[in-house]
Amino acid sequence: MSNSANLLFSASHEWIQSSGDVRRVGITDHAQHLLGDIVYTDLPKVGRKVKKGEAILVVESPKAAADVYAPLSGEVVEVNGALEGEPSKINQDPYGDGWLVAIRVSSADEAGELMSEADYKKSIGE
Amino acid sequence: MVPFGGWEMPVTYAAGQLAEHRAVRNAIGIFDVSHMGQVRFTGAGALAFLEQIVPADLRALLDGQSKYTQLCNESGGVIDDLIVSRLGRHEYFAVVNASTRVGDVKWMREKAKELKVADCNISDESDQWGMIAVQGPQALGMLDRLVTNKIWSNTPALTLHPFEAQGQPHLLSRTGYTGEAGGELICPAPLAAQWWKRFLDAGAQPCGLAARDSLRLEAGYCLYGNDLDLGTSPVEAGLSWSVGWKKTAKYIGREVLEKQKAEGVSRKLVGLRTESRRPLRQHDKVVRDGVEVGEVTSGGFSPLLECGIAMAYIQSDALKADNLHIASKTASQPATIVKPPFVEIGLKKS
Repeated sequence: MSNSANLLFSASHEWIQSSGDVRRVGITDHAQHLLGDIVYTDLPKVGRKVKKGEAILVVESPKAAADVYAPLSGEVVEVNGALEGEPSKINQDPYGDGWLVAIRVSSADEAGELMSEADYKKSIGE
Repeated sequence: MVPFGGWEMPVTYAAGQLAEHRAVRNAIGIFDVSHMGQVRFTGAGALAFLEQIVPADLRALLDGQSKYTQLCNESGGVIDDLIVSRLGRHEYFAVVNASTRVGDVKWMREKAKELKVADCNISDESDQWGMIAVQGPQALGMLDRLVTNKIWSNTPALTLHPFEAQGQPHLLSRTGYTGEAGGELICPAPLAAQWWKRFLDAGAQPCGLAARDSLRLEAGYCLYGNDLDLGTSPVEAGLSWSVGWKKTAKYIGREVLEKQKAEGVSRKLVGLRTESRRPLRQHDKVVRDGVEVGEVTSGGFSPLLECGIAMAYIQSDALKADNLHIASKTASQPATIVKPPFVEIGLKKS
């Protein structure tokens, strides 16, 4: 599994790359584990403007459907099309091949509310 | 682990739902179904009593043969669905659902009193039996190797075989809930863990509730509490094949079922599939031209077809519709009515 260094984490179990104009977003290993086998993703359109905290897509396992929220505001500039046929990549490699979307971040100032990996792990009791 | 009918049961084992599901379709999986209930009926009045409480015709059963049927109330509603087997002229054995077991037995005892049944003892043996479902194309081969006394591959489906192992009584039921070949080993509860380990050591994949549900849904089997309940009848649920229309006994609910058969029903349980990978969910609505015509009672994702599949009750006038949609709170997608099983299952292939 790809490593989770240089990522920031949200309380709602998303991650986002900690630097750069365009940053990848995904769900955490903890989240994919809770959902079980992911069989479907409903990726947003490229070009969509998103606000921090807004639901931008859905990932679904047979067990549950979960909204994924934008960790920061910006514009969706790329989606991981490989997930359409192989959503199981999210389970296998949540921090690598299982990324969901890339966002051109409009306001990096909002990142203050996101957590480091250590704080996130503490928040989920790991 | 989740609570299930008073038991703590695993949703999945380490392999995960999809791997467990595929193991059963391609090789072999085992399920701890010790939560299921076992009820024995003994006495000269056993057959006469059972004939009055289930719609199936049990008279033709020979020793060791089993039948799928239901317990219906006076309005034809389903109290539970069950498998009844004949063990002897005066001995029958039923396997019932866990969550309904206590109520079933209470109801049966009340009915036995009301119907003034002579000589039928009803014994709830659920607590003394463990039960392990062994399912998949390799299941009978493994049962042949591990469970001595019989070549299980030579026994027909829907039969029940008492035998002895480790000096104790066991039963092998040639039934299952996956659509694949196999059986369900009913063993003394204290021996269940040993049996489980034997199957594991021989290479069977342990499977949890999630795979149990997706396998039975692909096979088109009803789940009590979802697709069957007190408000649905076997005729509405598409289970008319299990009703003994020619039986002579006056069983509970008979008038309603016969009326439904003669006059038709206003809604029916159907299979539906979509072209999307999005799993369908219980309580999703079935919609035609923007108007609700039904509701999903079991929904999910077919690992074999890689699309959404569901069972839904829909209005009879929509049974031929070719423009149905399944709508959740967030999405609506076209759906086609298909006759289950949704996939080619082992039991149909052989």
